[in-house]
Amino acid sequence: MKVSDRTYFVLKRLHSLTGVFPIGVFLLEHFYTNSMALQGAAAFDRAAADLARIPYVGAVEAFGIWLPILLHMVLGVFIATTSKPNLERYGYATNWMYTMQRVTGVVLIFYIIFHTFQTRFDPAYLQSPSPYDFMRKQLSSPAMFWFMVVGILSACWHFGNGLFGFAIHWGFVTSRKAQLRVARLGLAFAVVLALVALNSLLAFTGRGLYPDWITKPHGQDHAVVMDGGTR
Amino acid sequence: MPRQSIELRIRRQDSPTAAPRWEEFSVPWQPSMNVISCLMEIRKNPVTRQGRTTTPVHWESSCLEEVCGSCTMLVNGRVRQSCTALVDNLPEGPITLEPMTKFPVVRDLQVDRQPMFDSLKRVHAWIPIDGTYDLGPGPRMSAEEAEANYVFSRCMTCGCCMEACPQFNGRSEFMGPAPLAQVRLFNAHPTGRLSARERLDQIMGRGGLVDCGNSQNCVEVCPKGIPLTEAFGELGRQTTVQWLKLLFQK
Ligand code: SF4
Ligand code: SF4
Ligand code: FES
Repeated sequence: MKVSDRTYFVLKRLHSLTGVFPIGVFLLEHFYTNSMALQGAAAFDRAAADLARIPYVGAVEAFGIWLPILLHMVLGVFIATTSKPNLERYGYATNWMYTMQRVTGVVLIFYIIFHTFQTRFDPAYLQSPSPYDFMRKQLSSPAMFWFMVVGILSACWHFGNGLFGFAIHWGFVTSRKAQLRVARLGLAFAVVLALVALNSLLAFTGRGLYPDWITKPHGQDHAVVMDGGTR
Repeated sequence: MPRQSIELRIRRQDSPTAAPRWEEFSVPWQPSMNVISCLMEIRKNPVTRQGRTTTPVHWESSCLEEVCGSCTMLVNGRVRQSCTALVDNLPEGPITLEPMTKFPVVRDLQVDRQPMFDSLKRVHAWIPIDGTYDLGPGPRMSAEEAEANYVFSRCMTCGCCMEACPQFNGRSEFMGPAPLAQVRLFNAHPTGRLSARERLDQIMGRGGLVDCGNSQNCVEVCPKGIPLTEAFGELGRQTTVQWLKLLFQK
Protein backbone atom coordinates (compact mmCIF):
# COMPACT_ATOMS: atom_id res chain seq x y z
CA MET A 1 0.00 0.00 0.00
CA LYS A 2 1.46 3.34 -1.04
CA VAL A 3 0.65 6.37 1.06
CA SER A 4 1.35 9.99 0.18
CA ASP A 5 4.47 11.73 1.46
CA ARG A 6 2.57 13.85 3.96
CA THR A 7 0.50 10.92 5.28
CA TYR A 8 3.71 8.94 5.68
CA PHE A 9 5.24 11.70 7.78
CA VAL A 10 2.14 12.05 9.94
CA LEU A 11 1.86 8.29 10.49
CA LYS A 12 5.50 8.02 11.52
CA ARG A 13 5.13 10.93 13.91
CA LEU A 14 1.93 9.40 15.31
CA HIS A 15 3.82 6.17 15.89
CA SER A 16 6.38 8.09 17.91
CA LEU A 17 3.78 10.14 19.79
CA THR A 18 1.44 7.29 20.70
CA GLY A 19 4.35 5.39 22.25
CA VAL A 20 4.62 8.05 24.95
CA PHE A 21 1.09 9.37 25.01
CA PRO A 22 -1.19 7.57 25.65
CA ILE A 23 0.57 4.18 25.67
CA GLY A 24 3.44 5.14 27.98
CA VAL A 25 1.11 6.97 30.33
CA PHE A 26 -1.20 3.96 30.38
CA LEU A 27 1.76 1.72 31.22
CA LEU A 28 2.56 3.88 34.25
CA GLU A 29 -1.08 3.77 35.38
CA HIS A 30 -1.10 0.00 34.87
CA PHE A 31 1.95 -0.49 37.07
CA TYR A 32 0.40 1.79 39.69
CA THR A 33 -2.75 -0.34 39.82
CA ASN A 34 -0.73 -3.57 39.85
CA SER A 35 1.26 -2.30 42.81
CA MET A 36 -1.99 -2.23 44.79
CA ALA A 37 -1.52 -6.00 44.98
CA LEU A 38 1.18 -5.32 47.58
CA GLN A 39 -1.57 -4.19 49.94
CA GLY A 40 -3.48 -7.41 49.48
CA ALA A 41 -6.37 -8.93 47.56
CA ALA A 42 -9.00 -6.48 48.74
CA ALA A 43 -6.95 -3.41 47.79
CA PHE A 44 -6.20 -4.75 44.30
CA ASP A 45 -9.76 -5.87 43.63
CA ARG A 46 -11.02 -2.44 44.71
CA ALA A 47 -8.54 -0.72 42.36
CA ALA A 48 -9.64 -2.94 39.47
CA ALA A 49 -13.30 -2.23 40.22
CA ASP A 50 -12.58 1.52 40.39
CA LEU A 51 -11.06 1.39 36.91
CA ALA A 52 -14.17 -0.32 35.59
CA ARG A 53 -16.22 2.59 36.97
CA ILE A 54 -14.37 5.31 35.03
CA PRO A 55 -17.00 7.41 33.20
CA TYR A 56 -17.25 6.50 29.49
CA VAL A 57 -14.96 3.57 30.29
CA GLY A 58 -15.70 1.79 27.01
CA ALA A 59 -14.74 4.81 24.93
CA VAL A 60 -11.68 5.55 27.09
CA GLU A 61 -10.54 1.98 26.64
CA ALA A 62 -11.19 1.85 22.90
CA PHE A 63 -9.79 5.25 21.91
CA GLY A 64 -7.32 5.80 24.72
CA ILE A 65 -5.71 2.36 24.79
CA TRP A 66 -6.68 -0.14 22.11
CA LEU A 67 -6.69 2.10 19.06
CA PRO A 68 -3.33 3.77 19.86
CA ILE A 69 -1.73 0.40 20.66
CA LEU A 70 -3.07 -1.10 17.45
CA LEU A 71 -1.72 1.83 15.44
CA HIS A 72 1.64 1.64 17.19
CA MET A 73 1.80 -2.12 16.54
CA VAL A 74 0.90 -2.01 12.86
CA LEU A 75 3.31 0.84 12.11
CA GLY A 76 5.92 -0.80 14.31
CA VAL A 77 5.76 -4.03 12.34
CA PHE A 78 6.17 -2.03 9.14
CA ILE A 79 9.18 -0.20 10.63
CA ALA A 80 10.74 -3.47 11.76
CA THR A 81 10.45 -4.89 8.25
CA THR A 82 12.42 -1.96 6.81
CA SER A 83 15.35 -2.73 9.08
CA LYS A 84 18.46 -4.75 8.29
CA PRO A 85 20.22 -5.21 11.63
CA ASN A 86 24.01 -5.37 11.53
CA LEU A 87 25.08 -5.90 15.13
CA GLU A 88 27.63 -8.51 14.12
CA ARG A 89 29.64 -5.87 12.27
CA TYR A 90 28.86 -2.74 14.27
CA GLY A 91 28.38 -3.64 17.94
CA TYR A 92 27.93 -0.10 19.28
CA ALA A 93 25.79 0.44 22.38
CA THR A 94 23.25 2.50 20.45
CA ASN A 95 23.06 -0.19 17.75
CA TRP A 96 22.22 -2.74 20.48
CA MET A 97 19.52 -0.41 21.71
CA TYR A 98 18.19 -0.02 18.17
CA THR A 99 18.07 -3.78 17.64
CA MET A 100 16.59 -4.55 21.06
CA GLN A 101 13.88 -1.96 20.44
CA ARG A 102 12.73 -4.02 17.47
CA VAL A 103 13.07 -7.36 19.25
CA THR A 104 11.11 -6.20 22.32
CA GLY A 105 8.51 -4.67 20.02
CA VAL A 106 7.84 -8.01 18.38
CA VAL A 107 7.77 -9.81 21.75
CA LEU A 108 5.27 -7.24 22.99
CA ILE A 109 2.87 -7.89 20.12
CA PHE A 110 2.45 -11.49 21.28
CA TYR A 111 2.48 -10.54 24.93
CA ILE A 112 -0.09 -7.75 24.67
CA ILE A 113 -2.50 -9.76 22.55
CA PHE A 114 -2.31 -12.64 25.02
CA HIS A 115 -2.49 -10.43 28.11
CA THR A 116 -5.47 -8.49 26.77
CA PHE A 117 -7.33 -11.71 26.05
CA GLN A 118 -6.40 -13.12 29.44
CA THR A 119 -7.61 -10.17 31.52
CA ARG A 120 -10.38 -8.79 29.36
CA PHE A 121 -12.07 -11.58 27.39
CA ASP A 122 -11.19 -14.90 29.03
CA PRO A 123 -14.49 -16.20 30.51
CA ALA A 124 -12.54 -17.60 33.48
CA TYR A 125 -11.42 -14.08 34.27
CA LEU A 126 -14.80 -12.46 33.69
CA GLN A 127 -16.53 -14.98 35.95
CA SER A 128 -13.93 -14.84 38.67
CA PRO A 129 -15.22 -12.87 41.68
CA SER A 130 -11.72 -11.64 42.47
CA PRO A 131 -9.26 -10.45 39.78
CA TYR A 132 -6.51 -10.84 42.38
CA ASP A 133 -7.42 -14.46 42.92
CA PHE A 134 -7.54 -15.09 39.18
CA MET A 135 -4.05 -13.67 38.69
CA ARG A 136 -2.73 -15.55 41.73
CA LYS A 137 -3.91 -18.84 40.22
CA GLN A 138 -2.56 -17.96 36.77
CA LEU A 139 0.84 -17.08 38.19
CA SER A 140 1.13 -20.31 40.13
CA SER A 141 2.21 -21.83 36.81
CA PRO A 142 5.94 -21.16 36.36
CA ALA A 143 5.57 -20.93 32.58
CA MET A 144 2.99 -18.16 32.97
CA PHE A 145 5.08 -16.41 35.60
CA TRP A 146 8.16 -16.28 33.38
CA PHE A 147 6.12 -15.31 30.34
CA MET A 148 4.87 -12.32 32.29
CA VAL A 149 8.41 -11.49 33.45
CA VAL A 150 9.53 -11.40 29.81
CA GLY A 151 6.54 -9.25 28.89
CA ILE A 152 7.18 -6.80 31.70
CA LEU A 153 10.89 -6.47 30.96
CA SER A 154 10.18 -5.96 27.26
CA ALA A 155 7.58 -3.30 27.99
CA CYS A 156 9.90 -1.42 30.36
CA TRP A 157 12.79 -1.52 27.93
CA HIS A 158 10.65 -0.56 24.94
CA PHE A 159 9.19 2.42 26.78
CA GLY A 160 12.40 3.64 28.47
CA ASN A 161 14.51 3.29 25.34
CA GLY A 162 11.71 4.63 23.19
CA LEU A 163 11.98 7.97 24.98
CA PHE A 164 15.44 8.36 23.42
CA GLY A 165 14.10 8.05 19.89
CA PHE A 166 11.10 10.18 20.75
CA ALA A 167 13.31 13.03 21.98
CA ILE A 168 15.37 13.04 18.77
CA HIS A 169 12.50 12.55 16.31
CA TRP A 170 10.64 15.55 17.62
CA GLY A 171 13.78 17.62 17.98
CA PHE A 172 13.77 17.99 21.77
CA VAL A 173 17.46 17.10 22.00
CA THR A 174 20.05 17.99 19.41
CA SER A 175 23.59 17.72 20.79
CA ARG A 176 25.12 14.27 21.01
CA LYS A 177 25.80 14.75 24.71
CA ALA A 178 22.18 15.60 25.41
CA GLN A 179 21.02 12.67 23.28
CA LEU A 180 23.13 10.20 25.22
CA ARG A 181 21.98 11.78 28.47
CA VAL A 182 18.36 11.16 27.46
CA ALA A 183 19.28 7.59 26.54
CA ARG A 184 20.78 6.97 29.98
CA LEU A 185 17.85 8.60 31.75
CA GLY A 186 15.39 6.56 29.72
CA LEU A 187 17.15 3.30 30.51
CA ALA A 188 17.44 4.20 34.21
CA PHE A 189 13.72 4.89 34.20
CA ALA A 190 13.15 1.50 32.57
CA VAL A 191 15.10 -0.20 35.37
CA VAL A 192 13.05 1.51 38.10
CA LEU A 193 9.81 0.67 36.29
CA ALA A 194 10.90 -2.95 35.89
CA LEU A 195 11.65 -3.28 39.61
CA VAL A 196 8.28 -1.83 40.53
CA ALA A 197 6.43 -4.01 38.04
CA LEU A 198 8.25 -7.22 38.96
CA ASN A 199 7.57 -6.55 42.63
CA SER A 200 3.86 -6.26 41.94
CA LEU A 201 4.04 -9.51 40.00
CA LEU A 202 5.65 -11.17 43.03
CA ALA A 203 2.92 -9.69 45.20
CA PHE A 204 0.38 -11.92 43.45
CA THR A 205 2.40 -14.93 44.52
CA GLY A 206 2.66 -13.60 48.09
CA ARG A 207 6.38 -12.86 47.75
CA GLY A 208 6.30 -9.11 47.08
CA LEU A 209 8.72 -6.93 49.00
CA TYR A 210 6.90 -4.42 51.11
CA PRO A 211 9.33 -3.15 53.75
CA ASP A 212 8.03 -0.66 56.30
CA TRP A 213 10.60 2.04 55.72
CA ILE A 214 9.54 2.55 52.15
CA THR A 215 5.83 1.90 52.35
CA LYS A 216 4.72 3.18 55.72
CA PRO A 217 1.44 5.02 55.06
CA HIS A 218 1.29 8.70 56.02
CA GLY A 219 -2.10 8.02 57.55
CA GLN A 220 -0.50 6.31 60.52
CA ASP A 221 1.63 9.37 61.24
CA HIS A 222 -1.48 11.53 61.35
CA ALA A 223 -3.19 9.04 63.61
CA VAL A 224 -0.28 9.22 66.04
CA VAL A 225 -0.42 13.02 66.11
CA MET A 226 -4.18 12.98 66.64
CA ASP A 227 -3.86 10.45 69.40
CA GLY A 228 -1.37 12.71 71.11
CA GLY A 229 -3.75 15.63 70.75
CA THR A 230 -6.75 13.98 72.31
CA ARG A 231 -4.85 12.51 75.17
CA MET B 1 56.96 -7.33 14.99
CA PRO B 2 55.96 -6.53 11.40
CA ARG B 3 54.85 -9.41 9.23
CA GLN B 4 57.08 -10.96 6.55
CA SER B 5 54.32 -11.15 3.98
CA ILE B 6 50.77 -9.91 3.81
CA GLU B 7 47.93 -12.35 3.21
CA LEU B 8 44.80 -10.94 1.61
CA ARG B 9 41.35 -12.43 1.11
CA ILE B 10 39.48 -10.46 -1.52
CA ARG B 11 35.87 -10.74 -2.59
CA ARG B 12 35.84 -10.48 -6.35
CA GLN B 13 33.09 -9.92 -8.85
CA ASP B 14 33.75 -9.58 -12.59
CA SER B 15 30.71 -7.49 -13.47
CA PRO B 16 27.60 -6.01 -11.82
CA THR B 17 25.68 -9.20 -12.50
CA ALA B 18 28.42 -11.84 -12.11
CA ALA B 19 28.50 -14.13 -9.08
CA PRO B 20 31.02 -13.09 -6.42
CA ARG B 21 33.94 -15.33 -5.43
CA TRP B 22 36.82 -15.20 -2.97
CA GLU B 23 40.49 -15.15 -3.94
CA GLU B 24 43.58 -15.22 -1.73
CA PHE B 25 46.82 -13.39 -2.36
CA SER B 26 50.14 -13.00 -0.64
CA VAL B 27 52.37 -9.96 -1.17
CA PRO B 28 55.80 -9.19 0.36
CA TRP B 29 55.79 -6.73 3.24
CA GLN B 30 57.38 -3.32 2.78
CA PRO B 31 57.53 -0.40 5.22
CA SER B 32 54.46 1.87 5.48
CA MET B 33 52.18 -0.18 3.24
CA ASN B 34 48.47 0.52 3.08
CA VAL B 35 45.71 -1.59 1.57
CA ILE B 36 45.97 0.25 -1.75
CA SER B 37 49.70 -0.42 -2.09
CA CYS B 38 48.93 -4.12 -1.45
CA LEU B 39 46.43 -4.00 -4.31
CA MET B 40 49.07 -2.35 -6.50
CA GLU B 41 51.49 -5.18 -5.67
CA ILE B 42 48.84 -7.71 -6.73
CA ARG B 43 48.34 -5.82 -9.95
CA LYS B 44 52.04 -6.24 -10.78
CA ASN B 45 51.69 -10.00 -10.57
CA PRO B 46 48.06 -11.16 -10.38
CA VAL B 47 48.66 -14.70 -9.18
CA THR B 48 46.66 -16.14 -6.28
CA ARG B 49 48.27 -17.77 -3.26
CA GLN B 50 47.37 -21.09 -4.82
CA GLY B 51 49.48 -20.17 -7.86
CA ARG B 52 46.61 -19.57 -10.27
CA THR B 53 46.93 -16.59 -12.62
CA THR B 54 43.92 -14.30 -12.41
CA THR B 55 42.83 -10.83 -13.47
CA PRO B 56 44.20 -7.81 -11.55
CA VAL B 57 41.94 -6.75 -8.70
CA HIS B 58 39.90 -3.69 -9.56
CA TRP B 59 39.36 -0.82 -7.11
CA GLU B 60 38.73 2.90 -7.08
CA SER B 61 40.88 5.56 -5.45
CA SER B 62 42.00 9.07 -6.09
CA CYS B 63 43.35 11.37 -3.38
CA LEU B 64 45.11 8.71 -1.25
CA GLU B 65 44.72 10.99 1.78
CA GLU B 66 41.17 10.36 2.99
CA VAL B 67 39.51 13.38 1.42
CA CYS B 68 37.84 12.03 -1.74
CA GLY B 69 36.08 8.99 -0.27
CA SER B 70 36.32 6.94 -3.45
CA CYS B 71 38.44 4.11 -1.98
CA THR B 72 35.82 3.17 0.66
CA MET B 73 35.41 -0.59 1.17
CA LEU B 74 35.05 -3.15 3.94
CA VAL B 75 38.44 -3.85 5.48
CA ASN B 76 38.22 -6.82 7.84
CA GLY B 77 34.45 -6.47 7.74
CA ARG B 78 34.35 -2.83 8.76
CA VAL B 79 33.68 0.04 6.38
CA ARG B 80 36.54 2.54 6.00
CA GLN B 81 38.89 4.19 3.53
CA SER B 82 41.42 1.70 2.23
CA CYS B 83 44.03 4.41 1.54
CA THR B 84 44.40 5.16 5.24
CA ALA B 85 44.17 1.51 6.28
CA LEU B 86 47.85 1.04 7.15
CA VAL B 87 48.86 -2.60 7.10
CA ASP B 88 50.99 -2.31 10.24
CA ASN B 89 47.98 -1.01 12.17
CA LEU B 90 45.75 -3.92 11.16
CA PRO B 91 45.63 -6.99 13.41
CA GLU B 92 47.71 -10.10 12.62
CA GLY B 93 46.31 -12.59 10.16
CA PRO B 94 44.88 -12.23 6.67
CA ILE B 95 43.32 -8.94 5.64
CA THR B 96 39.81 -9.30 4.24
CA LEU B 97 38.65 -6.87 1.56
CA GLU B 98 35.06 -6.64 0.34
CA PRO B 99 33.13 -4.03 -1.62
CA MET B 100 30.49 -2.05 0.25
CA THR B 101 27.25 -4.01 0.50
CA LYS B 102 24.69 -1.21 0.21
CA PHE B 103 25.65 0.03 -3.26
CA PRO B 104 25.67 -1.91 -6.53
CA VAL B 105 29.05 -3.46 -7.32
CA VAL B 106 30.65 -2.23 -10.54
CA ARG B 107 33.56 -4.63 -10.41
CA ASP B 108 35.56 -6.24 -7.58
CA LEU B 109 35.99 -3.55 -4.91
CA GLN B 110 34.43 -0.68 -6.85
CA VAL B 111 30.81 0.22 -6.20
CA ASP B 112 28.42 2.74 -7.72
CA ARG B 113 27.50 5.38 -5.13
CA GLN B 114 24.98 7.01 -7.46
CA PRO B 115 21.99 6.43 -5.11
CA MET B 116 23.65 8.77 -2.61
CA PHE B 117 24.24 11.42 -5.24
CA ASP B 118 20.65 11.11 -6.43
CA SER B 119 19.45 11.76 -2.88
CA LEU B 120 21.68 14.82 -2.63
CA LYS B 121 19.93 16.11 -5.76
CA ARG B 122 16.55 15.25 -4.34
CA VAL B 123 17.14 17.33 -1.20
CA HIS B 124 18.64 20.30 -3.13
CA ALA B 125 22.00 19.99 -1.40
CA TRP B 126 23.34 23.23 -2.85
CA ILE B 127 22.91 26.97 -2.57
CA PRO B 128 20.96 28.45 -5.49
CA ILE B 129 22.98 31.44 -6.67
CA ASP B 130 22.76 30.99 -10.41
CA GLY B 131 20.88 33.77 -12.16
CA THR B 132 20.98 36.15 -15.05
CA TYR B 133 22.66 38.95 -13.10
CA ASP B 134 25.23 39.34 -10.33
CA LEU B 135 23.54 38.84 -6.97
CA GLY B 136 26.33 40.60 -5.06
CA PRO B 137 28.03 39.29 -1.94
CA GLY B 138 26.00 37.00 0.30
CA PRO B 139 24.97 37.89 3.85
CA ARG B 140 27.60 37.59 6.58
CA MET B 141 27.70 34.66 8.96
CA SER B 142 28.92 34.79 12.55
CA ALA B 143 32.18 32.97 13.25
CA GLU B 144 30.34 30.69 15.64
CA GLU B 145 27.77 29.71 13.02
CA ALA B 146 30.43 29.24 10.36
CA GLU B 147 32.31 26.89 12.66
CA ALA B 148 29.21 24.81 13.41
CA ASN B 149 28.44 24.58 9.68
CA TYR B 150 32.00 23.83 8.65
CA VAL B 151 32.03 20.32 10.13
CA PHE B 152 29.09 19.33 7.93
CA SER B 153 30.79 20.71 4.82
CA ARG B 154 33.61 18.19 5.35
CA CYS B 155 31.43 15.31 4.08
CA MET B 156 33.24 13.56 1.22
CA THR B 157 30.24 11.37 0.22
CA CYS B 158 32.31 8.29 0.98
CA GLY B 159 29.23 6.29 1.98
CA CYS B 160 30.59 4.84 5.24
CA CYS B 161 27.58 6.13 7.16
CA MET B 162 25.21 4.69 4.55
CA GLU B 163 26.92 1.31 4.69
CA ALA B 164 26.68 1.09 8.50
CA CYS B 165 23.08 2.35 8.65
CA PRO B 166 20.66 -0.52 9.39
CA GLN B 167 17.81 1.53 7.93
CA PHE B 168 19.52 2.10 4.56
CA ASN B 169 18.97 -1.12 2.61
CA GLY B 170 17.07 -2.71 -0.22
CA ARG B 171 13.95 -3.17 1.91
CA SER B 172 13.63 0.48 2.82
CA GLU B 173 13.19 3.71 0.88
CA PHE B 174 15.34 5.59 3.40
CA MET B 175 17.71 8.05 1.69
CA GLY B 176 20.35 7.48 4.39
CA PRO B 177 22.30 9.74 6.73
CA ALA B 178 24.70 11.65 4.45
CA PRO B 179 22.11 13.53 2.36
CA LEU B 180 20.15 14.45 5.51
CA ALA B 181 23.23 16.00 7.10
CA GLN B 182 23.64 18.18 4.00
CA VAL B 183 20.11 19.49 4.48
CA ARG B 184 21.20 20.59 7.94
CA LEU B 185 24.21 22.35 6.36
CA PHE B 186 22.43 24.18 3.58
CA ASN B 187 19.43 25.13 5.70
CA ALA B 188 21.81 26.92 8.06
CA HIS B 189 23.47 29.00 5.35
CA PRO B 190 22.11 32.58 5.15
CA THR B 191 21.39 32.23 1.42
CA GLY B 192 20.61 28.51 1.50
CA ARG B 193 18.03 29.23 4.18
CA LEU B 194 15.85 30.91 1.54
CA SER B 195 15.01 27.50 0.12
CA ALA B 196 14.90 25.69 3.48
CA ARG B 197 11.24 24.83 3.01
CA GLU B 198 11.85 22.96 -0.23
CA ARG B 199 14.51 20.84 1.45
CA LEU B 200 12.30 20.15 4.45
CA ASP B 201 9.49 19.18 2.08
CA GLN B 202 11.78 16.58 0.57
CA ILE B 203 12.90 15.04 3.84
CA MET B 204 9.37 15.04 5.28
CA GLY B 205 8.31 12.57 2.63
CA ARG B 206 8.76 8.85 2.15
CA GLY B 207 12.34 7.76 2.67
CA GLY B 208 13.07 10.96 4.57
CA LEU B 209 14.12 11.83 8.09
CA VAL B 210 11.34 9.85 9.77
CA ASP B 211 12.88 6.62 8.49
CA CYS B 212 15.97 7.04 10.68
CA GLY B 213 15.86 4.52 13.54
CA ASN B 214 18.44 6.19 15.81
CA SER B 215 20.96 3.38 15.84
CA GLN B 216 23.60 6.12 15.59
CA ASN B 217 25.96 3.80 13.69
CA CYS B 218 26.45 6.55 11.12
CA VAL B 219 28.07 8.93 13.55
CA GLU B 220 30.28 6.15 14.93
CA VAL B 221 31.76 5.24 11.54
CA CYS B 222 32.01 8.65 9.85
CA PRO B 223 35.73 9.16 9.17
CA LYS B 224 35.25 12.93 9.13
CA GLY B 225 33.67 13.04 12.57
CA ILE B 226 30.52 14.65 11.20
CA PRO B 227 27.90 14.89 13.98
CA LEU B 228 25.19 13.28 11.86
CA THR B 229 22.80 12.54 14.71
CA GLU B 230 22.95 16.16 15.88
CA ALA B 231 21.80 17.08 12.39
CA PHE B 232 18.87 14.66 12.78
CA GLY B 233 17.88 16.28 16.10
CA GLU B 234 18.01 19.73 14.51
CA LEU B 235 16.10 18.56 11.44
CA GLY B 236 13.61 16.82 13.72
CA ARG B 237 12.98 20.20 15.29
CA GLN B 238 12.77 21.97 11.92
CA THR B 239 10.32 19.44 10.51
CA THR B 240 8.21 19.53 13.67
CA VAL B 241 7.90 23.31 13.38
CA GLN B 242 7.25 23.06 9.65
CA TRP B 243 4.52 20.49 10.23
CA LEU B 244 2.83 22.58 12.94
CA LYS B 245 2.92 25.57 10.60
CA LEU B 246 1.23 23.54 7.88
CA LEU B 247 -1.35 22.28 10.38
CA PHE B 248 -2.27 25.58 11.93
CA GLN B 249 -1.50 28.21 9.31
CA LYS B 250 -2.49 26.68 6.03
S1 SF4 C 1 28.79 11.87 6.49
FE1 SF4 C 1 30.80 11.00 6.92
S2 SF4 C 1 30.57 8.83 6.53
FE2 SF4 C 1 28.83 9.82 5.59
S3 SF4 C 1 29.41 10.14 3.49
FE3 SF4 C 1 29.94 12.01 4.59
S4 SF4 C 1 32.05 11.74 5.24
FE4 SF4 C 1 31.30 9.73 4.62
S1 SF4 D 1 21.09 7.01 13.34
FE1 SF4 D 1 19.62 6.84 11.67
S2 SF4 D 1 20.75 7.41 9.86
FE2 SF4 D 1 22.28 6.98 11.46
S3 SF4 D 1 22.81 4.84 11.14
FE3 SF4 D 1 21.14 4.87 12.62
S4 SF4 D 1 19.26 4.64 11.46
FE4 SF4 D 1 20.91 5.19 10.02
S1 FES E 1 41.66 7.58 -2.10
FE1 FES E 1 40.57 9.35 -1.50
S2 FES E 1 39.85 8.77 0.41
FE2 FES E 1 41.11 7.09 -0.07
